[in-house]
Amino acid sequence: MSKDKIRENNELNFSRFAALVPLDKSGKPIEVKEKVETVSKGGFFGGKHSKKAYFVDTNNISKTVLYLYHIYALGSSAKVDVKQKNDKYVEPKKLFGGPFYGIVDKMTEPDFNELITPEIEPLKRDLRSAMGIKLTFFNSDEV
Amino acid sequence: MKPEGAQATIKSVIGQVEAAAIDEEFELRSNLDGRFFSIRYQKSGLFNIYAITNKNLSLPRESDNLITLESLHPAGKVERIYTGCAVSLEWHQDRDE
Repeated sequence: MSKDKIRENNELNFSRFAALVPLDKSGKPIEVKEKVETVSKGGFFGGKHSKKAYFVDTNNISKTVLYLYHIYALGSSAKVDVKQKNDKYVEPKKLFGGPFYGIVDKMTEPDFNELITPEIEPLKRDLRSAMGIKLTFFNSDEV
Repeated sequence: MKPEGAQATIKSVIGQVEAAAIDEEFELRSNLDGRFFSIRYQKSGLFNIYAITNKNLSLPRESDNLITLESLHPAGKVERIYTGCAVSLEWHQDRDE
């Protein structure tokens, strides 16, 4: 990325990050629930201490989608906004970052068939078992 | 279509996870108007975004982009501004490009 582009982004005054976010069955991001537990150290004078634990109901996950977040500084405060959502990915598993993001996704049958040329047609069955995933790219400015 | 693979991945790593109420060390990822932002992404899938205000901290050098609670200026503060859950997460790398 050019220095002009970096300057332009700084002038926009936000930072960005992308995440593959699991959604619940109603289409909302899976909620992380916080629970404070009190634990006894044992013994009469052992006392108690509390610890925080975080829980996610994994049985409630229906789909995983791509979210692009922007972070804004607002005087003494700051906020995080979801700027873009993309649910076109079948089974996204991992993101790679940089000027372009990469997403590891499940390869569908149409994706696979596009790659098969007449020359490698005889190998189709073997290739199908070897090629379970695909990598796609997107520019964060264009999501 | 039910994303069996993604669901299985999350199931295997999230479950019940313990985490400190606030982390002790922050890797600075961006600087907006003199305010610094850090992210902590755990293998559990939980992520927290922090806004850090530190009176004496200028733009960090590439090799010096960590701040600890101990090194924070008395007038400085660390504020958790967002908590979420993600299978995978990547910060946009404007600063390093």
